[in-house]
Amino acid sequence: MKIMNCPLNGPRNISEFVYGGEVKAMPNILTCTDREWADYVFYSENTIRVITEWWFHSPSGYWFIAERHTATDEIFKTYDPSELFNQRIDFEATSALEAEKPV
Amino acid sequence: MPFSLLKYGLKNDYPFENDIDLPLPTELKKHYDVVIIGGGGHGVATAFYLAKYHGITNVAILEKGYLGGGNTARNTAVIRSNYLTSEGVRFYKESVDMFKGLSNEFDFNIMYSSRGQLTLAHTDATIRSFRQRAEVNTHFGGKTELIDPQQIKELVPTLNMNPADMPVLAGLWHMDGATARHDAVAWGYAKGATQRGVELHQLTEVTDVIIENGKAKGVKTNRGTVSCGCIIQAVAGHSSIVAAMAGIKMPITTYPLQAMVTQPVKPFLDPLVSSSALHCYVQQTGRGEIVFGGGSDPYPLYNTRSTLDLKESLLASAVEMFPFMANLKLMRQWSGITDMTSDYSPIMGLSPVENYYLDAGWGTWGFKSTPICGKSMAELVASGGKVPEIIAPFAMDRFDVFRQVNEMGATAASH
Amino acid sequence: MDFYNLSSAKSSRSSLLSLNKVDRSHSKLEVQDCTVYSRVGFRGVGAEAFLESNGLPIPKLPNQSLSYKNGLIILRLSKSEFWVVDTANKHHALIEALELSSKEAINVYRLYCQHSHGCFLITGDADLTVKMFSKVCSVDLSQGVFALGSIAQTSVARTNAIVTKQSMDGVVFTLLLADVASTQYLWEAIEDAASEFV
Ligand SMILES: Cc1cc2nc3c(=O)[nH]c(=O)nc-3n(C[C@H](O)[C@H](O)[C@H](O)COP(=O)(O)OP(=O)(O)OC[C@H]3O[C@@H](n4cnc5c(N)ncnc54)[C@H](O)[C@@H]3O)c2cc1C
Repeated sequence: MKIMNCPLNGPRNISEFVYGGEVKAMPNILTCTDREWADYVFYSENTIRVITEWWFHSPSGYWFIAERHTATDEIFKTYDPSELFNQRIDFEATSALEAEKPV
Repeated sequence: MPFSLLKYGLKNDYPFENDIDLPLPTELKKHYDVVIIGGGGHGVATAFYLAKYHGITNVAILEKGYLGGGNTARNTAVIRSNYLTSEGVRFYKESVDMFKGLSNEFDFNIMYSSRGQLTLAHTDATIRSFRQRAEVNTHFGGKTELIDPQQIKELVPTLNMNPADMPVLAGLWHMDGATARHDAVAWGYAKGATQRGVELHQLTEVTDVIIENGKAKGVKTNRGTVSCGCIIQAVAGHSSIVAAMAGIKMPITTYPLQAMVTQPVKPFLDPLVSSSALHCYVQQTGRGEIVFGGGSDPYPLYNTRSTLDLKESLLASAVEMFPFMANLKLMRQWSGITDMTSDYSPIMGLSPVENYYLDAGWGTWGFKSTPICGKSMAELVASGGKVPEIIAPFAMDRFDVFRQVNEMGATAASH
Repeated sequence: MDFYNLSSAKSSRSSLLSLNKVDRSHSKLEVQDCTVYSRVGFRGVGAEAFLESNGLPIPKLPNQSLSYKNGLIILRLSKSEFWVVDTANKHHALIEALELSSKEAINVYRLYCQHSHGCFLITGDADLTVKMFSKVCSVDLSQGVFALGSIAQTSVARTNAIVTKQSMDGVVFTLLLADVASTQYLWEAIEDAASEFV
């Protein structure tokens, strides 16, 4: 079985992990167009290269980041998200709701 | 007669040498009216209908490997139309109808076998969705009904009615469900197309797409550059990669899909049987082998390797459904890479580039649609870009306006 | 109900369930069901300080556990996630008090491990325990590799689980926590795996 190295739990069977999608920047939901939002939600380069992606170690409920090649399936690096994200990200959900209030 | 054997053995040429199905390779011409990228079922079907219905024969199919060696060769050939949405059912229903006449149309046996397809429900929620699917299918002229456990037992006496402690509560019985020899479909179309003048170039990989002023003008290949009037891409798992050559980003993610087959046994299973709760579908081929498969791999990848994980989980489910399979030997396991859309419907029609047409997003369910895809893509091209009504709902820009055609529940582990 | 209190649940549960479900009939290994004993979890950047201020010892690194006293185990599941698990059914008052005082603590969030998880305690010969686990779990739990106080968050008999090795009064045991919905299945799976070692 394929083994992935979890930054918290060490090397584990790939079946313990859940794929969480590519790490990509979310557009500002208050200002972006529908097309930009669709691009974020549905569209993807989906190409052959090393991509940076979210993974979840299911038994420990732990999210982390992996760099993996999309053709060889080789996993080059796994690390804690704190290496990329060092502060809380707010999605301004409340103000978005206000913007959608019926007129 | 041993003597006739000896005669053939000593002869320089073989009995049917001059009776081959496909013309021998030629040089690429400088220009074609239509270039089709991808010599899978969809590509050759499009060429066939272009030549047969529209008289367009200055057509080149460029295939980087060999004819039908992609997902056309790897799929498990479930043919059915019992989807959920009106857009989907109408489209797949026409394809199933076309399949019935293909052997005649080709004068070539595609071994079409109309055995019916049975999907199992293990929960109330599934039964409700089955009711809806039966209604929609019936509305469009298909034969589909909800059946009870007693009827299921009669149809498939060997089925375990309590697999993995999930009792079978009901079934969606789709009488139009069928299977066919997948390779023969590609061969039949290729033969018919090339007989009418279409060129099939195998071992010819498209490496770039030439675009001038927003219009597709030609392609670069490992055998040189050709110019053309228009381009159709039908490359399944490689959709995003070829589209990127034309500067197009697609709402597609590529996942492997695996399947496997056992040693042959005597006929025991007439219908195709699937259970999405168990992530497994099982059918017996005309040769007696049991073909079975399940859901896609759990993460995206451009690789046709097989995995132990999937073998394990799929075998577990198959043995739950048909316990006697535990005694069988596995003969082969394989995989294909599939171009998945988030709504489990295809992407067909126009693209942001003029004269560049898309036939993509076929994921794990595109074999059954081969005839209707060929027919409607040919119509699209022959009309100079007028989108046939039957494929209009599958335009790529449906995602931009959040108007998906959701077939996820009706596709899942049945393909 | 703005805060769910453990004490209200405890008596109702214990009236329904046996507090002393033990399987030892077929094996040298003994499995005990501690699901109804009390436990609580905390997470957040303030969780470590909060537990310390309540006088509890803290494992230094993630994936380590400590035995405090009389079968009270403290598990550190990540940098900022802790579970306090009673394996002797003696610490209900302490756990209830912790739970209530965490309401006021800053950057401390309670984790719902009481009702979400089942809890088994496995005792018996150390080598046999390792052998039994090697049938259902792919992480190496053998003596030299998996020391006392190690935690493995992994898959056991195909269910997500937390495994740790601890001791009480010199007796080494393995603690197994897994989704409560799987406890019946897991109990049978462990019983089955252990039955080989007679
Ligand atoms: C295991 C498995 C089971 C399946 N089961 C079913 C099923 O039961 N029922 C069903 O309806 N569908 C099923 N499918 C899906 C179905 O196989 C596909 O959707 C369908 O075959 C797609 O046909 P196609 O002609 O578009 O693609 P393909 O047959 O894959 O043809 C595409 C061709 O494009 C070529 N190509 C790629 N890049 C280039 C390039 N740059 N230049 C030139 N050529 C290129 C490839 O070599 C390939 O031959 C299954 C798929 C798999 C993998």
